[in-house]
Amino acid sequence: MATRERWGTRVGLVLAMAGNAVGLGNFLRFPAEAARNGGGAFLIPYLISFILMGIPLLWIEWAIGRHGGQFGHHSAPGLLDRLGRQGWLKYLGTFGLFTNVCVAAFYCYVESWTLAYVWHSVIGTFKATKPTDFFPVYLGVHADSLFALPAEAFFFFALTLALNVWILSRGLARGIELAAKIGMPLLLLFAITLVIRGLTLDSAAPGVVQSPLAGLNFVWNPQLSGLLNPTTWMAAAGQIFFTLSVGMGAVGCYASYVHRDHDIALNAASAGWMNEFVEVILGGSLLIPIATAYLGLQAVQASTASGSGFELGFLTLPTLFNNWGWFAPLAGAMWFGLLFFAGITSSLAMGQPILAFLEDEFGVPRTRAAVLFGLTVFLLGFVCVWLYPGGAFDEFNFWTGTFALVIFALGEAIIFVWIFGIDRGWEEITRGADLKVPRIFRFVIQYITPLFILVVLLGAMFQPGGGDWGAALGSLFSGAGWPFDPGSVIGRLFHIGEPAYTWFDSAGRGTRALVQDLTRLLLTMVFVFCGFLIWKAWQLKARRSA
Amino acid sequence: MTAAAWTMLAITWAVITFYTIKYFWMVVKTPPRSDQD
Repeated sequence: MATRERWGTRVGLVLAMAGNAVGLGNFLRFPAEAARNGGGAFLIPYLISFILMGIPLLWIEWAIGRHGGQFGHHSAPGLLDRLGRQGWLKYLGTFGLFTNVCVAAFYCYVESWTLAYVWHSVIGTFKATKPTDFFPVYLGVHADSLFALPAEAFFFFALTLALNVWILSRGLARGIELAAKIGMPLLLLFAITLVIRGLTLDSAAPGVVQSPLAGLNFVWNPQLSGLLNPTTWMAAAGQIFFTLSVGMGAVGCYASYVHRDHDIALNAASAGWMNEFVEVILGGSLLIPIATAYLGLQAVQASTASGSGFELGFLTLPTLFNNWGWFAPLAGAMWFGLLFFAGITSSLAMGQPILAFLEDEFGVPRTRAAVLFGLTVFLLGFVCVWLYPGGAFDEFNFWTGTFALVIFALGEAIIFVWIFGIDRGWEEITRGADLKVPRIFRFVIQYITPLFILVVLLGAMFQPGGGDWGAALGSLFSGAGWPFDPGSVIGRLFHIGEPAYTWFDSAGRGTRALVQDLTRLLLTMVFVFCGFLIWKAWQLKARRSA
Repeated sequence: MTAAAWTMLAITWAVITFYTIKYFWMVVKTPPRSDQD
């Protein structure tokens, strides 16, 4: 049944879409990825990927969404079902339900950490306690234990989830749009304040060991040799893919509430570039320059070598802010506050497709749908919290937050171009456009974008150890086989690199491998259940129309 | 900061800021067509 909900304002829609894209990765992942992949040279493949894959994929998802919205669908199964006559199309939408509910489970948990850190920054916890001591206690991580039941972490997780459910239950314009209109400007204000404070740190100030510009140089100094390295290109394309929050069905869901003759081309471009502004200009000038000023470049290089700024952001920065005197609690609240706003505008976008599915296909009232979403996320999130030390959180993150997105995006792009048809697709993108979309993008959308996504997928599946593709090919042709990286899809699937693959140790206790495999079983069951719900919804639909 | 780093930073920041402001300004200034529901 069609709902008549609409966005309140155009600016609100663009801010909500930008908020969906802007997430914790803009501030934690991007600077670390840029620094370890050739610095300024990383930006060349990064921007090329944005133009050839990011923007076209945004247009594809906006077009799929607005098209399906005309028929009263606002979630991936219905949106994809309207792209062709094939009955199986709707089942690809399983990914659009599965990823949102599973990613929300671990993402809301991380979001709740930022809320807890705002609180602890304000009350001055980090003046007396090092975050490196605080964080394991907060998570309830103990040596040799696979389980944790941390009361405070549970409290903040439940609080964050309740806030998400409450905002979602208020509806599109009065809930999600209002949250974006408040959250995004505050995020920008906090980030700009911290960037200015960080970059103007005096080299003679107490605690400062190096100019923050040395950190900026680390991020931006171009190492042109990186341009010839396929790893740099894959890292850049991967970063663009994940930063835009494509491949989840959330963009299509938001766009489905746009009138069929209203613009999507300009709105999509505006939201995409806004995300780039936050990521490259603000995200690239915050974490690493401040950390470099107080720790020195060598320490920063070591802690970002894995391509994640998580350690610097959560375990180091709160201590460094102590050097800022009276401004320290405020700086901590601003840093974690901006991460919280980045997080919540994204988690709301994960909730809306689920609510839309329950409303459209099963006629569940919005408030009840929001509570159902909250309960499901709480149950799945409980697994992430409880089995965090055993690796359940990492499993959720990888299989739902990385792998499933790429598969879904590739499916969407292929269906849009080859089943819906590029002629109808191009008409859909350009109808009502307030921006003249260059015709070259028709070719890009048809051939280049799917190819880019395929490369990202293959890169993730077959990533070789150390990221050295040349050496891996040499190894393959010399008969020594392909050296899969333990973090690649194949590597994870077959537990490559783990010392001994066994579910129980010699004392009969469960191992990490057991937790990992049980988590995968749970994720598979959730995936199958989402598929079942789609089947059930279409059965009911057929019965109603009969 | 090296000259190369400054150059990369200046060009990238200029391009991103230009398009972010240009498109957002167009969004603000172009009212949506009247709803035909």
